[in-house]
Amino acid sequence: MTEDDELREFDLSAWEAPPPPVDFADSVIARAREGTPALEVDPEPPSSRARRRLIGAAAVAALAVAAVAMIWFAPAASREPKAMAGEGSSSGSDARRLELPGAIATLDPGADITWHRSGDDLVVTQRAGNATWQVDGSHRLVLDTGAVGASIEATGASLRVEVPMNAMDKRVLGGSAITAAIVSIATVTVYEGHVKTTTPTQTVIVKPGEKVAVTDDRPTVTVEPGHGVTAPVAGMGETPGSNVEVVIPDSHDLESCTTRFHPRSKVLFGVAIDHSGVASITPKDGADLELGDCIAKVFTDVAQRNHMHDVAMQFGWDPSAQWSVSGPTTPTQAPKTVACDAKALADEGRQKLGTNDDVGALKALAQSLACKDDPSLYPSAYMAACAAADEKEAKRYFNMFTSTRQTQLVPICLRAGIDPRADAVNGGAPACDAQALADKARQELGDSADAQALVDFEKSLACRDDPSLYPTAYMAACGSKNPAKAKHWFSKLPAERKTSLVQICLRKGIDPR
Amino acid sequence: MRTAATATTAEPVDELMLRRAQTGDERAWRDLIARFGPPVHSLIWRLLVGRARHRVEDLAQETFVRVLRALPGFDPAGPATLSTWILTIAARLTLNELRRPELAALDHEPASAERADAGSERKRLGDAIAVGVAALPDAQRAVLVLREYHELDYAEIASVLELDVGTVKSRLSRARSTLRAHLLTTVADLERQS
Repeated sequence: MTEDDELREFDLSAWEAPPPPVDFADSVIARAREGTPALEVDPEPPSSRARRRLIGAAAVAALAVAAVAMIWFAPAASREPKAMAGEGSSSGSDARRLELPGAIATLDPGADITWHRSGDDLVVTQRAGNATWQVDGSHRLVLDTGAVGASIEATGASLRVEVPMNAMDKRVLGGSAITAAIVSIATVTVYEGHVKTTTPTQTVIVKPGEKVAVTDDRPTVTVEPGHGVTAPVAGMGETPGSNVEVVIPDSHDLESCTTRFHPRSKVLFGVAIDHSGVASITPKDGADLELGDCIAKVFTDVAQRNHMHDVAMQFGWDPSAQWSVSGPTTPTQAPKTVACDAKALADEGRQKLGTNDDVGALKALAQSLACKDDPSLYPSAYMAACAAADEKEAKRYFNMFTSTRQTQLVPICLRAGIDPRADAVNGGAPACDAQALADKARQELGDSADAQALVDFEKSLACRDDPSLYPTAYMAACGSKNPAKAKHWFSKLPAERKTSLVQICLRKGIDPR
Repeated sequence: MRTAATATTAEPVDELMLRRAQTGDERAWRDLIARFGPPVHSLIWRLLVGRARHRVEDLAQETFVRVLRALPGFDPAGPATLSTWILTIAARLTLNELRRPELAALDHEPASAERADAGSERKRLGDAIAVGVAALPDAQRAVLVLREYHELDYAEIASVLELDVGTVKSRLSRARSTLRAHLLTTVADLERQS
């Protein structure tokens, strides 16, 4: 009998533990949001700490020295700094002063930091809020505020670091690049000593009295007093100083936001491009920070429709803070006065399809899909391509369908003399890339774009059946609140996985069993 | 026989859930809590058997509060899996709790086999296990529970409890022997009574 067999004669599962209460998650999240218990020492495994990223994927840092600044900065903080362990975290609604190894931090209410030692370095993640740092001359503070590819380092310095909004605390919106940009902005004001900010494009030594903005992978920029933080734009095609207006078309995703923002279905935003090439978009009505997530979507949408491929936003605690969207446009594609209207183009395409203008229908539907990818349009586009005898387009759309759907739709093209399956039958180049589709779907799932992730998982699975994708397809179905799909993919899960995964859908009000 | 249903973390769902949770997505937080809440709760419940059961939910909540806060720094490519990392936090919090002097002794006797409802052999066995596990020293109980109910391997248990693997093996061996002796005695008593 081996050691593991020693208790085999007894069914240890007879000692059953009760499940957590049904409102357990609510309680945890409420407690986490409260930020009350300042958890000053985390029981993290050393192995995890050792692997923690220092600078790589993150951002803004600071050190500090300036005792003078501390007095006005944190009147409510304890006068006696609290000595802290070599690692830990602190967050809460009160001002705090922490004596960390090599530095003293004065935290504004709401500031949220974690720290750990790495040799003589004090590595700090300032996820949100404002803090003033005093760093002694024998230690280095490496501060990460979440900006990708950026770092801030200080030795023998006093500085203030402000992280007005950290996307790690916000819902993930849109594509990862946009999310990363939202994360990025932090400002560093140096009181004493010198602070080094490093981005992939430059390293800047910030001198006493200077204030800079550090954003993701863009150059660090100096912030003039009284101005918001913006990022420089390269390759802007619009004339500097010009003003354009952008129409936000109706959109299901934006409906609730735009309704709250403005009583009309269309909302106008003023877009100003200043002489430094920064575009800022300002809603005509008053701002409401409660709409933060919603507005982020609006701005993202505006930026995409105007060919800006990156977005940076400023979210501050100040309700009067201006939101700005900035980013480089495609040089050959200056912002348009009116963005494309996917819905109108789709309607046009359907109408032309109904009047046998197949070529026109295909063109309009393709334009609509280019404007906004909408899988519900694929069948119409496929039918138009078949009818227009456009074999290449017909095959392209055909390959976007699930295998079941392909079986249903293939006769449409066959009747028009086109076999959309021809490549596969003839052993030609693969018509679809299952791996690429799966990767895309995973990324979308990671970005909370559940519905799109589900579409792409199904495309990947239609291209190549891969049972390892079933759990992720199931999760995407749960996330997109699609009961039929959830049940479908749940039914394909191995029995032993169902028990652990059923909760994912149940939590969203879907019983996939 | 092992019973644990600890979620394995080599699955793509966990990777995606983690990525989303690390961005602060509350939905992902909820998924993560739904996924790991039961094993965390059961771990704490078993480690506190006979002691301060009223602290179970609070410690389970505290575990996840810490998990959520430290999550952005968790490296999924590191040696600790997400599951093990979360169980580590839960185990250490609970063991810290058990070090409080007022929790040194049993505050209540787990329902013993003799007092179990008649006709429920499984329940009586469960109660007997509870009594036997409660009688183990904290250090042995932690090793046993992590191995038998959460299916951690020796190296993972060593990492969770900051022990070397040899110590894990020896504690586990002693815990199993003690528990086995207790169960054999209890079962024999039950058979004599019936």
